[in-house]
Amino acid sequence: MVRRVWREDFRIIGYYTGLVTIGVGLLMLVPMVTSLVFREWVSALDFAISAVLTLLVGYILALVSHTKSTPGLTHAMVIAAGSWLVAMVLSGVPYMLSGHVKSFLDACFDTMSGYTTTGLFLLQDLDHISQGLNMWRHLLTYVGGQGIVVLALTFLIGSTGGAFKIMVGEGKEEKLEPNVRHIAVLIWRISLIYLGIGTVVLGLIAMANGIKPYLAFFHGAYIFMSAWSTGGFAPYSQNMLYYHSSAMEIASMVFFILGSFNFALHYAVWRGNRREILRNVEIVSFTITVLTTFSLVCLALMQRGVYPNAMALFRRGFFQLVSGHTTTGQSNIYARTFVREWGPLGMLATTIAMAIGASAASTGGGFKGLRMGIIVKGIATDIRKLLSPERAVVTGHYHHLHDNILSDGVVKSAAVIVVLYVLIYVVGAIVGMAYGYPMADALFESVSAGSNTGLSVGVTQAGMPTLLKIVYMLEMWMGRLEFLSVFTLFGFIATSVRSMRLRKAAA
Amino acid sequence: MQERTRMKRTTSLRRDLLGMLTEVAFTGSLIGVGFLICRLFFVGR
Repeated sequence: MVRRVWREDFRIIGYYTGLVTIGVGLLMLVPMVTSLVFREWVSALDFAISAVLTLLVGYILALVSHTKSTPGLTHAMVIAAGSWLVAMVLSGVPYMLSGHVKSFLDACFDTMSGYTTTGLFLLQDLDHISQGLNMWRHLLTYVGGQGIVVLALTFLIGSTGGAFKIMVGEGKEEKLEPNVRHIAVLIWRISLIYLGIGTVVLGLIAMANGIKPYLAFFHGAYIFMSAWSTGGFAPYSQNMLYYHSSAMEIASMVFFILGSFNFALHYAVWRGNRREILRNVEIVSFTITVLTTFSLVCLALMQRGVYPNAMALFRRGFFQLVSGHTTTGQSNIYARTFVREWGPLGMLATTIAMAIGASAASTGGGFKGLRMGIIVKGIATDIRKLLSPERAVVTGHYHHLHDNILSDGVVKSAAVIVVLYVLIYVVGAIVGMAYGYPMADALFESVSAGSNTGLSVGVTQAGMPTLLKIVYMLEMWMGRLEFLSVFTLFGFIATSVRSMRLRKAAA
Repeated sequence: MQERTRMKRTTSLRRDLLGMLTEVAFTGSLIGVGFLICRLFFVGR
C-alpha cells in the first residue's frame, strides 16, 4: 500500500531542494569571477543576474518550507531527482543570456548534459563563447561528477540522518565513513588534489604547445575537469583534436581512467590498501572489457586499413575506445569518422564499451563494471552449481573492498538495473530511427546519451527534432541517477495527486 | 602532542601520495597494454 502525502513531506523536499539550489547559486560566482578576470563585462553581468535569481529561488524555497524534520528514504530520492531538475533549469539561465543557444530547451539540454557528465552539446559557435561560460560548462561537469547533493552536503546540509539517503538517491551509495559529511569531504578532497595536479600537468602541456601561459592553465583546468568528471566537454568545437598533441591526449586519458574509478576504491588505495586495485571486481571487469572491445576496434580498423601504423591506431583507436568506455566522450576524431572510417564493427565495439561504462559510485555512467562483474560471476556460479554433485553447496564470491558472498538478491538487483539501462538505450534508438536516422547511428547516439558518454556520430545538433532532444535529456537524467530516485519522483507526484483528490472527496 | 600530530599528518600525506602513485601506475600500465595490442596488430606488416 502506498502511503499518503502530507504537507510536511513537501516541506522537507522543498527545504532540502532549496539548500541545493543555494549551492548552485553560489557556484555561479566562480564563472562570474572568471569573466571579471578576462574583462568580459557582459558575461560577468549574465552570471551576476543568474546567481541572484538562483539564490533568490533557493532562499525563498528554503524559507517557505523551513523544517527541522529529517528526510526519509522517499524524501531523499525525490530531493535527489528533483534537485537535478531545478539545477538544470536555473543553470541554463546564463546560457540563455549569452545568446549562444537557439532556445531555452537547448540551454537545458546542455546543462543536463553537463551535470550528468555526458558531454553532448547544442551550444552555437562554441569557439567564440566567453571564458566565463566555458568555465561554467566545465564546472557543471566537475560538480555533476561529484554530485550536486554531495556539494550541498559538504557546505550546507551537514550531518543530518537523511543526508546519506540523499546521496544514495544520487547514485553514491558507498558508505566510506560513518559520518556522511566526512564522505562528502573525502570525495571532494580526492577530486581537488587531482584537480591541482591535473591543472598543472595539462597546463604545462598546453603551454608547451604554444598556448599563452595564463590561458594554458585555464585550458588545463577545463580539460582536467572534463576528463576527471568523465564529462567530455572541451573549450573548442574540435574537442581534443584542437590541441594536436599526443602528450595532452595521454595525460587526459590517465585522468579520465582515474575519474572512472569508484570513490570507495580511491579511498581504499589512498588509505594504504594498494592491492585492492588489482583485486577489485570492477577493475578486473573494466580491464577485461576495455581490452576485449579495443581488440574488436583494432580488428575493424585493420580490416579497413584506416591507420597506417601502430602509433596512429593507438592515438585514435585506444583514446576513443577508452573515452567511450569510461563514459568520458572526449574526442580526437571528427564525429562522422565513426561512420565513414570505423565501420559497423568499430561502432558496435564502441557502443558496447559505452553501454558498460565506468565504475559504480564514480563520476562515470553506463551500467557499471561492478554490475557486469556480479552478473558474470552469477552466471559462472550457476554453471558451477549445475556441474557439481546435487548435495554440494556452491557459493559465489566477488571482491569489492572485501570478499562478498554472491547472493541471488545481489545478482537480481544488478540484472534489474542493467535491464533498465538496456531499455532506455533501446527506446532512445527507436525514437531516433523513427525520425529517419540509420539504426547504427540512432543506437550509438542513444547509448551515448543514456550512459552519459557524449561521443557523437553527428545526430546531436541544434537542428535535431525537439522530441529527440527531450528523450536524450531523460536518458541522461535517468542514466546518471540510476533510475531509482527518478521513479520515486514520478511515484511521489502520482501519489500527491491521488492524496489531493482523496482530501477533496473527503471535504 | 604537536609532534604526534605532525607525524600523523606526514604519515597520512605519504599514504595519500603512495595511493595516488599506485593508481597512476595502474592506469599507465593499462595504457601500455593498449599500445602493445596496437603493435601486435602491426606485427609482420
